[in-house]
Amino acid sequence: MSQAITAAQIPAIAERLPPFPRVVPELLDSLQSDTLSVDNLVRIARNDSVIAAAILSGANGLRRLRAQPDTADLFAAASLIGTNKLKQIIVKLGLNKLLSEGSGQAFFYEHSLAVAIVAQELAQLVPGVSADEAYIAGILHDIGQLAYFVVDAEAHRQIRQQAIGDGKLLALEAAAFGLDHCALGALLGSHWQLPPVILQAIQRHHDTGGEWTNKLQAVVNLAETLTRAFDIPMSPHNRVLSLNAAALDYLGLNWAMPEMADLIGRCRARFAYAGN
Amino acid sequence: MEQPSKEGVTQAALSNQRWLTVEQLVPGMVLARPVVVAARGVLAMKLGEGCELTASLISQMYARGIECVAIAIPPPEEDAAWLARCAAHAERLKLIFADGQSGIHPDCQPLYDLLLAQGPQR
Repeated sequence: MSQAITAAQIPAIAERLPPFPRVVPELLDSLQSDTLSVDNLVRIARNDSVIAAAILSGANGLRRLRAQPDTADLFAAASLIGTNKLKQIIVKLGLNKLLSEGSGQAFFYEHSLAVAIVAQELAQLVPGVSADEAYIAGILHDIGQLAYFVVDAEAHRQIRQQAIGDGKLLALEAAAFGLDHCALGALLGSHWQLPPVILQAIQRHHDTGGEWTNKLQAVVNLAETLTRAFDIPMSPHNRVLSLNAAALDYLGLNWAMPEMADLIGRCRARFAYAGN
Repeated sequence: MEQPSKEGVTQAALSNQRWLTVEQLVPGMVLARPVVVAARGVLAMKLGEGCELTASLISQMYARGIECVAIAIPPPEEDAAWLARCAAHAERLKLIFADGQSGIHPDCQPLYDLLLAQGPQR
Protein backbone atom coordinates (compact mmCIF):
# COMPACT_ATOMS: atom_id res chain seq x y z
CA MET A 1 0.00 0.00 0.00
CA SER A 2 1.16 3.49 -0.85
CA GLN A 3 0.73 6.33 1.63
CA ALA A 4 -2.89 6.29 2.86
CA ILE A 5 -4.70 9.57 2.32
CA THR A 6 -7.11 10.83 4.97
CA ALA A 7 -9.58 13.72 5.00
CA ALA A 8 -7.31 15.55 7.44
CA GLN A 9 -4.56 15.68 4.80
CA ILE A 10 -6.71 17.37 2.15
CA PRO A 11 -5.73 20.98 3.03
CA ALA A 12 -2.03 20.07 2.86
CA ILE A 13 -2.52 18.30 -0.48
CA ALA A 14 -4.48 21.26 -1.88
CA GLU A 15 -1.60 23.53 -0.84
CA ARG A 16 0.73 21.58 -3.14
CA LEU A 17 -1.58 21.90 -6.15
CA PRO A 18 -1.85 24.98 -8.37
CA PRO A 19 -4.41 27.35 -6.80
CA PHE A 20 -8.06 26.66 -7.53
CA PRO A 21 -9.04 29.38 -10.04
CA ARG A 22 -11.15 32.10 -8.43
CA VAL A 23 -13.12 32.63 -11.62
CA VAL A 24 -14.91 29.27 -11.31
CA PRO A 25 -16.61 29.82 -7.90
CA GLU A 26 -17.46 33.34 -9.06
CA LEU A 27 -19.14 31.91 -12.13
CA LEU A 28 -20.97 29.26 -10.08
CA ASP A 29 -22.23 31.98 -7.73
CA SER A 30 -23.55 33.93 -10.71
CA LEU A 31 -25.30 30.83 -12.05
CA GLN A 32 -26.90 30.12 -8.65
CA SER A 33 -28.09 33.66 -8.07
CA ASP A 34 -29.35 34.06 -11.63
CA THR A 35 -27.35 37.28 -12.02
CA LEU A 36 -25.53 36.13 -15.10
CA SER A 37 -25.01 38.80 -17.74
CA VAL A 38 -22.33 39.74 -20.22
CA ASP A 39 -21.39 42.53 -17.84
CA ASN A 40 -20.90 40.09 -14.94
CA LEU A 41 -18.91 37.69 -17.06
CA VAL A 42 -16.64 40.44 -18.37
CA ARG A 43 -16.00 41.51 -14.78
CA ILE A 44 -14.95 37.93 -13.97
CA ALA A 45 -12.87 37.55 -17.14
CA ARG A 46 -11.11 40.91 -16.86
CA ASN A 47 -8.94 39.64 -14.00
CA ASP A 48 -7.38 36.92 -16.12
CA SER A 49 -5.30 37.95 -19.12
CA VAL A 50 -5.44 34.51 -20.77
CA ILE A 51 -9.23 34.43 -20.59
CA ALA A 52 -9.52 38.01 -21.81
CA ALA A 53 -7.24 37.21 -24.76
CA ALA A 54 -9.34 34.17 -25.69
CA ILE A 55 -12.51 36.26 -25.68
CA LEU A 56 -10.94 38.88 -27.93
CA SER A 57 -9.62 36.16 -30.23
CA GLY A 58 -13.05 34.53 -30.58
CA ALA A 59 -14.77 37.82 -31.26
CA ASN A 60 -12.18 39.01 -33.75
CA GLY A 61 -12.53 35.77 -35.68
CA LEU A 62 -16.18 36.64 -36.16
CA ARG A 63 -15.44 40.27 -37.03
CA ARG A 64 -12.98 39.18 -39.73
CA LEU A 65 -15.69 36.97 -41.24
CA ARG A 66 -17.66 40.16 -41.76
CA ALA A 67 -14.60 42.12 -42.96
CA GLN A 68 -14.64 44.28 -39.84
CA PRO A 69 -11.46 45.49 -38.07
CA ASP A 70 -10.33 43.76 -34.87
CA THR A 71 -11.51 45.12 -31.54
CA ALA A 72 -9.59 45.40 -28.27
CA ASP A 73 -12.72 46.28 -26.31
CA LEU A 74 -13.43 43.32 -24.02
CA PHE A 75 -17.08 44.22 -23.46
CA ALA A 76 -17.76 44.61 -27.19
CA ALA A 77 -15.98 41.31 -27.84
CA ALA A 78 -17.91 39.53 -25.08
CA SER A 79 -21.22 40.88 -26.38
CA LEU A 80 -20.42 39.56 -29.82
CA ILE A 81 -19.66 35.99 -28.79
CA GLY A 82 -22.51 35.70 -26.28
CA THR A 83 -22.81 34.41 -22.71
CA ASN A 84 -22.73 30.72 -23.60
CA LYS A 85 -19.30 30.89 -25.21
CA LEU A 86 -18.06 33.28 -22.51
CA LYS A 87 -18.91 30.83 -19.75
CA GLN A 88 -17.11 28.02 -21.51
CA ILE A 89 -13.97 30.06 -22.10
CA ILE A 90 -13.89 31.12 -18.44
CA VAL A 91 -14.29 27.57 -17.11
CA LYS A 92 -12.05 25.84 -19.66
CA LEU A 93 -9.14 28.25 -19.39
CA GLY A 94 -9.69 28.92 -15.70
CA LEU A 95 -9.24 25.23 -14.90
CA ASN A 96 -6.59 24.44 -17.49
CA LYS A 97 -3.70 25.39 -15.18
CA LEU A 98 -5.06 23.40 -12.22
CA LEU A 99 -5.80 20.27 -14.24
CA SER A 100 -2.78 20.33 -16.56
CA GLU A 101 -0.09 21.42 -14.11
CA GLY A 102 -1.68 19.59 -11.16
CA SER A 103 -1.53 16.29 -13.02
CA GLY A 104 1.41 16.92 -15.34
CA GLN A 105 -0.45 14.89 -17.94
CA ALA A 106 -2.13 16.08 -21.12
CA PHE A 107 -4.54 13.13 -21.04
CA PHE A 108 -5.94 14.13 -17.67
CA TYR A 109 -6.98 17.58 -18.88
CA GLU A 110 -8.22 16.28 -22.23
CA HIS A 111 -10.36 13.59 -20.59
CA SER A 112 -11.79 16.15 -18.15
CA LEU A 113 -12.63 18.46 -21.05
CA ALA A 114 -14.25 15.61 -23.00
CA VAL A 115 -16.48 14.69 -20.04
CA ALA A 116 -17.43 18.37 -19.68
CA ILE A 117 -18.48 18.55 -23.33
CA VAL A 118 -20.45 15.29 -23.26
CA ALA A 119 -22.11 16.22 -19.95
CA GLN A 120 -23.17 19.58 -21.37
CA GLU A 121 -24.55 18.00 -24.54
CA LEU A 122 -26.47 15.39 -22.50
CA ALA A 123 -27.83 18.11 -20.19
CA GLN A 124 -29.32 19.87 -23.19
CA LEU A 125 -31.47 16.79 -23.83
CA VAL A 126 -32.72 16.53 -20.25
CA PRO A 127 -35.21 19.04 -18.83
CA GLY A 128 -34.24 20.37 -15.43
CA VAL A 129 -30.47 20.08 -15.75
CA SER A 130 -28.32 23.18 -16.08
CA ALA A 131 -26.01 22.73 -19.07
CA ASP A 132 -23.55 25.13 -17.43
CA GLU A 133 -23.42 23.16 -14.19
CA ALA A 134 -23.05 19.97 -16.19
CA TYR A 135 -20.03 21.44 -18.01
CA ILE A 136 -18.40 22.54 -14.75
CA ALA A 137 -19.17 19.26 -12.94
CA GLY A 138 -17.83 17.38 -15.96
CA ILE A 139 -14.54 19.21 -16.13
CA LEU A 140 -14.05 18.78 -12.36
CA HIS A 141 -15.20 15.15 -12.11
CA ASP A 142 -11.71 13.64 -11.79
CA ILE A 143 -10.09 16.22 -9.50
CA GLY A 144 -9.67 13.51 -6.88
CA GLN A 145 -6.91 12.04 -9.02
CA LEU A 146 -4.89 15.22 -8.50
CA ALA A 147 -4.29 14.11 -4.90
CA TYR A 148 -2.55 10.95 -6.12
CA PHE A 149 -0.24 12.97 -8.34
CA VAL A 150 0.85 14.91 -5.24
CA VAL A 151 1.19 11.90 -2.94
CA ASP A 152 2.61 9.19 -5.23
CA ALA A 153 2.26 9.76 -8.96
CA GLU A 154 4.18 6.62 -9.92
CA ALA A 155 2.01 4.33 -7.79
CA HIS A 156 -1.09 5.80 -9.40
CA ARG A 157 0.35 5.42 -12.90
CA GLN A 158 0.87 1.72 -12.20
CA ILE A 159 -2.67 1.39 -10.87
CA ARG A 160 -4.10 2.99 -14.00
CA GLN A 161 -2.03 0.67 -16.14
CA GLN A 162 -3.30 -2.37 -14.25
CA ALA A 163 -6.89 -1.11 -14.47
CA ILE A 164 -6.74 -1.15 -18.29
CA GLY A 165 -6.72 -4.92 -18.02
CA ASP A 166 -9.14 -5.58 -15.19
CA GLY A 167 -11.26 -2.42 -15.11
CA LYS A 168 -11.05 -2.25 -11.30
CA LEU A 169 -9.66 1.26 -10.99
CA LEU A 170 -11.59 2.32 -7.89
CA ALA A 171 -10.85 -0.86 -5.94
CA LEU A 172 -7.15 -0.61 -6.79
CA GLU A 173 -7.04 3.06 -5.75
CA ALA A 174 -8.80 2.35 -2.46
CA ALA A 175 -6.45 -0.52 -1.73
CA ALA A 176 -3.37 1.58 -2.45
CA PHE A 177 -4.37 4.96 -1.04
CA GLY A 178 -7.27 4.27 1.33
CA LEU A 179 -9.68 6.38 -0.76
CA ASP A 180 -10.70 6.13 -4.41
CA HIS A 181 -10.61 9.23 -6.62
CA CYS A 182 -14.39 9.78 -6.41
CA ALA A 183 -14.28 10.11 -2.62
CA LEU A 184 -11.09 12.17 -2.80
CA GLY A 185 -12.61 14.46 -5.41
CA ALA A 186 -15.56 15.20 -3.17
CA LEU A 187 -13.18 15.99 -0.29
CA LEU A 188 -11.00 18.27 -2.42
CA GLY A 189 -14.07 19.93 -3.90
CA SER A 190 -15.45 20.49 -0.42
CA HIS A 191 -12.14 22.07 0.60
CA TRP A 192 -12.50 24.42 -2.38
CA GLN A 193 -16.10 25.10 -1.28
CA LEU A 194 -17.76 23.83 -4.45
CA PRO A 195 -21.57 23.53 -4.29
CA PRO A 196 -23.03 20.24 -2.95
CA VAL A 197 -24.63 19.39 -6.31
CA ILE A 198 -21.18 19.40 -7.98
CA LEU A 199 -19.64 17.38 -5.12
CA GLN A 200 -22.34 14.70 -5.45
CA ALA A 201 -21.73 14.44 -9.19
CA ILE A 202 -17.98 14.04 -8.58
CA GLN A 203 -18.62 11.44 -5.88
CA ARG A 204 -20.91 9.30 -8.07
CA HIS A 205 -19.35 9.51 -11.52
CA HIS A 206 -18.30 5.84 -11.49
CA ASP A 207 -21.39 4.42 -9.71
CA THR A 208 -22.78 1.33 -11.36
CA GLY A 209 -25.98 1.21 -9.31
CA GLY A 210 -27.90 2.94 -6.53
CA GLU A 211 -30.62 5.56 -6.49
CA TRP A 212 -30.01 8.94 -8.11
CA THR A 213 -30.88 11.98 -6.04
CA ASN A 214 -30.52 14.48 -8.86
CA LYS A 215 -30.13 14.42 -12.61
CA LEU A 216 -26.71 16.07 -12.68
CA GLN A 217 -25.22 12.99 -10.99
CA ALA A 218 -26.63 10.73 -13.68
CA VAL A 219 -25.51 13.09 -16.46
CA VAL A 220 -21.89 13.13 -15.31
CA ASN A 221 -21.94 9.38 -14.67
CA LEU A 222 -23.15 8.73 -18.20
CA ALA A 223 -20.76 11.30 -19.68
CA GLU A 224 -17.81 9.49 -18.11
CA THR A 225 -18.80 6.28 -19.92
CA LEU A 226 -19.66 7.97 -23.21
CA THR A 227 -16.32 9.78 -23.57
CA ARG A 228 -14.68 6.36 -23.46
CA ALA A 229 -17.19 4.90 -25.89
CA PHE A 230 -16.65 7.84 -28.28
CA ASP A 231 -12.88 7.39 -27.86
CA ILE A 232 -12.29 11.03 -26.94
CA PRO A 233 -9.46 11.50 -26.27
CA MET A 234 -8.15 8.32 -27.87
CA SER A 235 -6.46 6.20 -25.21
CA PRO A 236 -5.86 2.59 -24.17
CA HIS A 237 -7.79 3.53 -20.99
CA ASN A 238 -10.97 3.76 -23.08
CA ARG A 239 -12.84 0.58 -22.17
CA VAL A 240 -16.62 0.29 -21.85
CA LEU A 241 -17.33 -3.00 -20.13
CA SER A 242 -20.51 -1.79 -18.43
CA LEU A 243 -22.92 1.10 -18.65
CA ASN A 244 -25.21 2.47 -15.98
CA ALA A 245 -28.52 1.74 -17.73
CA ALA A 246 -30.40 3.13 -14.72
CA ALA A 247 -28.78 6.53 -15.35
CA LEU A 248 -30.04 6.48 -18.93
CA ASP A 249 -33.56 5.57 -17.76
CA TYR A 250 -33.50 8.15 -14.99
CA LEU A 251 -32.70 10.85 -17.54
CA GLY A 252 -35.45 9.66 -19.88
CA LEU A 253 -32.98 8.85 -22.68
CA ASN A 254 -32.59 5.84 -24.93
CA TRP A 255 -30.35 4.94 -27.86
CA ALA A 256 -33.20 4.90 -30.37
CA MET A 257 -33.68 8.66 -30.01
CA PRO A 258 -32.31 10.52 -33.06
CA GLU A 259 -30.84 13.08 -30.66
CA MET A 260 -28.52 10.41 -29.29
CA ALA A 261 -27.05 9.75 -32.75
CA ASP A 262 -26.52 13.49 -33.17
CA LEU A 263 -24.94 13.65 -29.72
CA ILE A 264 -22.08 11.45 -30.92
CA GLY A 265 -21.27 13.70 -33.88
CA ARG A 266 -21.65 16.87 -31.84
CA CYS A 267 -19.40 15.69 -29.02
CA ARG A 268 -16.70 14.47 -31.38
CA ALA A 269 -16.75 17.73 -33.33
CA ARG A 270 -16.61 19.89 -30.23
CA PHE A 271 -13.83 17.88 -28.67
CA ALA A 272 -11.76 17.86 -31.86
CA TYR A 273 -12.06 21.64 -32.07
CA ALA A 274 -11.45 22.26 -28.34
CA GLY A 275 -8.39 20.05 -28.37
CA ASN A 276 -6.67 22.09 -31.06
CA MET B 1 -8.39 -7.58 -39.30
CA GLU B 2 -12.06 -8.43 -39.24
CA GLN B 3 -14.14 -6.66 -41.86
CA PRO B 4 -17.14 -4.62 -40.70
CA SER B 5 -20.56 -5.94 -41.55
CA LYS B 6 -21.94 -4.85 -44.89
CA GLU B 7 -24.79 -3.27 -42.99
CA GLY B 8 -22.38 -1.18 -40.94
CA VAL B 9 -20.57 0.09 -44.03
CA THR B 10 -23.81 0.88 -45.85
CA GLN B 11 -25.28 2.82 -42.94
CA ALA B 12 -22.06 4.75 -42.49
CA ALA B 13 -22.06 5.66 -46.16
CA LEU B 14 -25.53 7.13 -45.75
CA SER B 15 -24.13 9.80 -43.51
CA ASN B 16 -23.53 12.68 -45.88
CA GLN B 17 -22.96 15.19 -43.16
CA ARG B 18 -20.21 16.40 -40.92
CA TRP B 19 -20.67 18.10 -37.56
CA LEU B 20 -18.62 21.27 -37.22
CA THR B 21 -18.32 23.78 -34.41
CA VAL B 22 -19.51 27.30 -35.20
CA GLU B 23 -15.90 28.49 -35.16
CA GLN B 24 -15.17 26.20 -38.12
CA LEU B 25 -18.03 27.42 -40.29
CA VAL B 26 -17.34 29.49 -43.39
CA PRO B 27 -19.80 31.25 -45.67
CA GLY B 28 -21.04 29.04 -48.48
CA MET B 29 -21.39 25.88 -46.39
CA VAL B 30 -24.81 24.23 -46.55
CA LEU B 31 -26.76 22.94 -43.56
CA ALA B 32 -27.48 19.21 -43.58
CA ARG B 33 -29.87 19.52 -40.63
CA PRO B 34 -32.21 22.31 -39.51
CA VAL B 35 -31.05 24.69 -36.80
CA VAL B 36 -33.72 25.83 -34.35
CA VAL B 37 -33.08 28.07 -31.36
CA ALA B 38 -35.74 28.93 -28.83
CA ALA B 39 -35.15 31.29 -25.93
CA ARG B 40 -37.65 31.31 -23.05
CA GLY B 41 -40.22 29.58 -25.21
CA VAL B 42 -39.88 32.05 -28.08
CA LEU B 43 -38.47 30.99 -31.43
CA ALA B 44 -35.27 33.00 -31.86
CA MET B 45 -33.77 31.43 -34.96
CA LYS B 46 -34.82 28.82 -37.49
CA LEU B 47 -32.75 27.72 -40.47
CA GLY B 48 -33.81 24.85 -42.67
CA GLU B 49 -31.88 21.97 -44.14
CA GLY B 50 -30.16 23.15 -47.34
CA CYS B 51 -29.72 26.71 -46.08
CA GLU B 52 -26.47 28.26 -47.34
CA LEU B 53 -24.54 29.97 -44.57
CA THR B 54 -23.49 33.61 -44.75
CA ALA B 55 -21.12 35.54 -42.47
CA SER B 56 -24.11 37.19 -40.84
CA LEU B 57 -25.85 33.87 -40.13
CA ILE B 58 -22.66 32.42 -38.66
CA SER B 59 -22.30 35.43 -36.33
CA GLN B 60 -25.91 35.07 -35.22
CA MET B 61 -25.47 31.38 -34.51
CA TYR B 62 -22.33 32.13 -32.48
CA ALA B 63 -24.05 34.84 -30.44
CA ARG B 64 -27.08 32.62 -29.78
CA GLY B 65 -24.89 29.97 -28.21
CA ILE B 66 -25.12 27.32 -30.92
CA GLU B 67 -22.20 24.97 -30.45
CA CYS B 68 -22.14 23.03 -33.68
CA VAL B 69 -24.19 22.26 -36.77
CA ALA B 70 -24.34 19.49 -39.35
CA ILE B 71 -22.94 20.51 -42.72
CA ALA B 72 -23.73 18.69 -45.96
CA ILE B 73 -20.79 16.89 -47.55
CA PRO B 74 -20.53 14.55 -50.53
CA PRO B 75 -20.99 10.84 -49.75
CA PRO B 76 -17.78 8.91 -49.16
CA GLU B 77 -16.30 7.09 -52.11
CA GLU B 78 -16.64 3.45 -51.25
CA ASP B 79 -13.08 2.73 -52.26
CA ALA B 80 -10.49 0.59 -50.53
CA ALA B 81 -9.34 3.47 -48.32
CA TRP B 82 -12.86 4.11 -47.02
CA LEU B 83 -13.52 0.43 -46.41
CA ALA B 84 -10.23 0.17 -44.54
CA ARG B 85 -11.26 3.10 -42.33
CA CYS B 86 -14.60 1.41 -41.63
CA ALA B 87 -12.79 -1.80 -40.73
CA ALA B 88 -10.38 0.03 -38.42
CA HIS B 89 -13.32 1.78 -36.79
CA ALA B 90 -15.09 -1.53 -36.16
CA GLU B 91 -11.90 -3.04 -34.78
CA ARG B 92 -11.37 -0.13 -32.42
CA LEU B 93 -14.97 -0.37 -31.15
CA LYS B 94 -14.52 -4.04 -30.45
CA LEU B 95 -11.40 -3.28 -28.43
CA ILE B 96 -13.26 -0.64 -26.39
CA PHE B 97 -16.43 -2.64 -25.76
CA ALA B 98 -15.56 -6.31 -25.76
CA ASP B 99 -14.62 -8.16 -22.63
CA GLY B 100 -12.19 -10.91 -23.60
CA GLN B 101 -14.34 -13.60 -22.02
CA SER B 102 -17.99 -12.62 -22.27
CA GLY B 103 -18.17 -10.27 -25.27
CA ILE B 104 -20.12 -7.04 -25.14
CA HIS B 105 -22.26 -6.34 -22.07
CA PRO B 106 -26.00 -6.33 -22.97
CA ASP B 107 -26.44 -2.82 -21.52
CA CYS B 108 -23.67 -1.56 -23.84
CA GLN B 109 -24.86 -3.35 -26.98
CA PRO B 110 -27.26 -0.62 -28.27
CA LEU B 111 -24.54 2.02 -27.91
CA TYR B 112 -22.02 -0.23 -29.64
CA ASP B 113 -24.47 -0.84 -32.50
CA LEU B 114 -25.13 2.88 -32.88
CA LEU B 115 -21.42 3.74 -32.99
CA LEU B 116 -20.76 0.96 -35.49
CA ALA B 117 -23.61 2.15 -37.72
CA GLN B 118 -22.32 5.73 -37.64
CA GLY B 119 -19.00 4.65 -39.04
CA PRO B 120 -15.71 6.52 -38.79
CA GLN B 121 -15.70 10.26 -38.29
CA ARG B 122 -15.89 12.15 -41.57
